[in-house]
Amino acid sequence: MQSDPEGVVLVVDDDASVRDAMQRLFRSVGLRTEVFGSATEFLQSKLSDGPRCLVLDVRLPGMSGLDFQAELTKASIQIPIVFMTGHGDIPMTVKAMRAGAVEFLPKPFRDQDMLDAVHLALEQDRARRMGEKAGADVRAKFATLTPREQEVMGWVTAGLMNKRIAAEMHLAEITVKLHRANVMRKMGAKSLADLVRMADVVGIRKKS
Amino acid sequence: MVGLELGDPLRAGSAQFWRWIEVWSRVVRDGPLGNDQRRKLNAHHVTGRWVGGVGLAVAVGAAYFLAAQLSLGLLLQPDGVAVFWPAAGISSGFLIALGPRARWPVAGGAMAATIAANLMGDRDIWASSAFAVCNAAEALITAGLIQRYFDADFSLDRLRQVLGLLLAAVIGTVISGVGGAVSYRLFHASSAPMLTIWWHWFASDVVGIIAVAPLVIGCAAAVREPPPRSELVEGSIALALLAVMTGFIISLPPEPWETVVPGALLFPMLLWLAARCRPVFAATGAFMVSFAVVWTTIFGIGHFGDTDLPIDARILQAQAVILVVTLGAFVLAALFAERRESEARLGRSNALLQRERDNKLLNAQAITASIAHEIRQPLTAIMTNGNAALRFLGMSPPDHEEVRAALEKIISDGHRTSEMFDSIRTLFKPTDQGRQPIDVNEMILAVLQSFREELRDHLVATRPELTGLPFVVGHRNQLQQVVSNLVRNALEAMDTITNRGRVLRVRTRLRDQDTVIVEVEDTGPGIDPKRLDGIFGAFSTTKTHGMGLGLAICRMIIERHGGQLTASSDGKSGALFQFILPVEAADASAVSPR
Repeated sequence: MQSDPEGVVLVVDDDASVRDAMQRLFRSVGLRTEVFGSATEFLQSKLSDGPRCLVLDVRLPGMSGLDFQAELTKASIQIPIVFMTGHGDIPMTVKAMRAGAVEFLPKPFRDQDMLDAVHLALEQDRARRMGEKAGADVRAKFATLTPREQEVMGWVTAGLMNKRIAAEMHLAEITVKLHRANVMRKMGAKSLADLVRMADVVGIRKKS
Repeated sequence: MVGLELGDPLRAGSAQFWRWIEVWSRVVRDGPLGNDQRRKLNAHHVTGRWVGGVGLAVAVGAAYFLAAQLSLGLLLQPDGVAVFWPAAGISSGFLIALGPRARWPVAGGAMAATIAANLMGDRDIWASSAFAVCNAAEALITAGLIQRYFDADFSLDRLRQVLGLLLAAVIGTVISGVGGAVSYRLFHASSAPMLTIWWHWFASDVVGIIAVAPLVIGCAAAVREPPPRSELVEGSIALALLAVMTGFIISLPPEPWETVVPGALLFPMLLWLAARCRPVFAATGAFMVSFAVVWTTIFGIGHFGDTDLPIDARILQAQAVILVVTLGAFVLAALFAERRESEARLGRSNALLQRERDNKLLNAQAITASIAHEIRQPLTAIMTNGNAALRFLGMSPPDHEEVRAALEKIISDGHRTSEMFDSIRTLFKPTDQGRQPIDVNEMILAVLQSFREELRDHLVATRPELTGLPFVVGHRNQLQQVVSNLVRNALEAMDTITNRGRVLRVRTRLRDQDTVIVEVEDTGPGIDPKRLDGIFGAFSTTKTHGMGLGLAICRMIIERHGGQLTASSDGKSGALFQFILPVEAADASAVSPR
C-alpha cells in the first residue's frame, strides 16, 4: 500500500450509505479514505503506512466500537479515534474519551465538526510518528556506543561528577572524561540537558 | 427415611424419637419454606420427613397418655365418662396437622395410650381395648373428613376451615360416642342410661377437640412457616397478659358482677390475639382460658367452682363457656387472617400492575430509541452528502460529477428512510387485521431462503431442525420480521468467527399441545452472560447482536402474540435465542399510534 504523507482516514461503519457519504465528504477536502463495514474487516486488512486516523461508530456488528478501541490498545496499535454514534449516553462518552479518543460526535454531525476532529487526529498521529522516528534515531546512535561509553552515559546523565564516576567504574578520571567526550560527540548532543533527554528515550539513565 | 430396626424395639423407638426431634428442630431452625405455593406443595412433603415410624407413635402416645391421665384423674365417678377429654384434641390435631401418612402411628399411639391409661385406672383389658378403638376411630373420622374436604394446607386461617373443623369434630364424636356408650354398657356394667353416657362422651370429646386440636394444628403450621419475630413477640406478650388476667379472674371472689368481668377482661385480649397474630396464637389463648375453666370447675375455685351449684350444672356451664370462647376466638382469628390475606393479595397485584406498567413504558422507550437510531443513519448520510456537495460546488472549478452523485445518494437515502417508516407502521397497526393461521416451519424456510446468498457468502452452514407443528395464529409479517432479525443477528455475530465452523441452527418443536418453541442458535462469540438481560433494552451498547429493528421490537412482537423471547449464552461458544408462542395467540393490548 502506498504511503500518503497527507494521511488516510479509516472509516468503520456498518451502514453503506454512511460510508459512501463520508468518503465523499473527505474527498471534497482532499483526504484519502478507506472504508470498512466491521471491526473484523478492518483488522483483516493491511493498513497503509503513513499518518492515519480512525472514524468509528460505537455500534458495530460483531464487536462494539468501544470494545474495538480496547482491542487496539491491547494490541499496541496506536491510531487516534474519532467516535460517532446514533445514540450516546454520557458514561459512554466519558469512557471513550478516557480511553484516548480524540472526539465523540453524535449522528448526524456538523460536517465541520467531523473535519476538524479528523484533522486533529491526523495531526496527533503525525506528531506521534515523528516522535517515534526521533526515538528511533536516538536508539540507533546509542547502539554505536561501546559498552563502557553506554555506562558512562548512564552515570553522567544521572548527574554524577567525573570523579565519582571514576570511582564507580574503577577507571581513571581522565578515561572517564575521554568517554564522556565520545558520548557527546556520537550522540550528537549539544548540551548535558540534551543528553539527559536522549538517555530518557533509551532508558539508560542510572538512579543516583 | 426413618427405618425400623427390628431387634430392640424400645431402643429403636427411642432412637427414632430422637432422630425425629432432631429433624423437627432442624425444620424449625432452617426457617420458613417461602411462598404460599411452596407451602402447599411442601405441606405433606415436610411432614413426610418426620411422620411414619415408631417415633411418632411414641410421641403421640406419650402426649395422649398424659392428657388421658389428667382427665381420668378428674373423674367424677370411678366408672363414669371423663368430663374433659383433651386427649381427643391431641390425636385429632396431630392427624390433621401431619396428614394421612401419620394415620397409623397416631392411631396406634392413641390406642396404646388409652389402653395404658385405662389399665392404670383399674379398668379391665376389654373395656380398655374397646375405648381405645373408639378413640382411634374418632380421631380417624374427624381427621379423615378434614382431609377429604380441605386441602393439605389446613391452618385455620379461613372461616370455612374453622366451621369445617367444628362439623368434623361433631360428626366424629357423635359416631365414636355411640361406640363408647355401647362399650361402657357392655364392659363396664354402668347403670346410667345410654343417652346420658353418649352425651357425656360426646360433650367431653367435642370440647376436647375444639380446645386442643387447633392448638396442635396451629403449632404445626407455625413450624412449617414460622411467624416473624415481631409477631412472636407481640403474641407472646398478649398471651402472657392473658395468663395474668386469667389468674386474676380465677382469684376473684364470687360476687354478682364477676360474671361480667371475665368477659370484659378476656375478650379484648382474645380480640388482640385474633386480630394481630396468626391463628395459632388465638388457639393458644383459647386453650389457656379453657384450661383455666376446667381447672377451676374441677377444683372448686372461683366462679366455676361455686359449690352451690351441682357438679353437673357446673360442668355443663364450663363446657358451654369453653365452646363459646374457643369458637369465638377461632372465628375471629380466621376472619382477621382472611382479611390480612386479601390485603396482601391486593398489595401483590398492585405491585404486579405497577411492574407491568413500567415494563410497557420501558418497551416503548426501547422501541423509540431503536427507531431513532435506525433513522439517524440515513439522516447522517444525507446531511454529509449535502455538505460534501456544497464543498465540491465551492471548488474552482466546481466538481459537478461529485455533486450529482451526492444528490443521487441523497434521494435514494430519502427513499430508504421512507420504507423504514412503512415497515415500522405495519408493526403498529391495530391487531384485528392480518391475524391468520401461520405455518411456522414454512415461514422459517422462507426466511432462510431469502438469506441463502448471504449465508453462502459468509460461509455459514444452515441446519434447520423443524418438527411438525400445528398452525399458529398471528401476524405473519411480524413473526417473519422477528425470525429475519434473529437470523441476521446470528449471521453478523458469526462474522468474527474464524477458528471454528459457522453454523446456524433453527429449531422448532412443540412444547405441549398449545405451545410452539422456535430457537435460533449460532456459533458466534456469544453474549456475556452478565449482559444477557440488557440486550433487549434500548441502550445496550455492547451488543454483538442487534441491528435492524432491534431486539426490543422483536420482544414486543412476540409478547403481543402472548409469547416470550429469551436469550441464553455462555459468552464463548455462541448464543441461543428462543421464543415460545401459544398456538392460539392471545392478544395483549396493542400499541396503537392513534
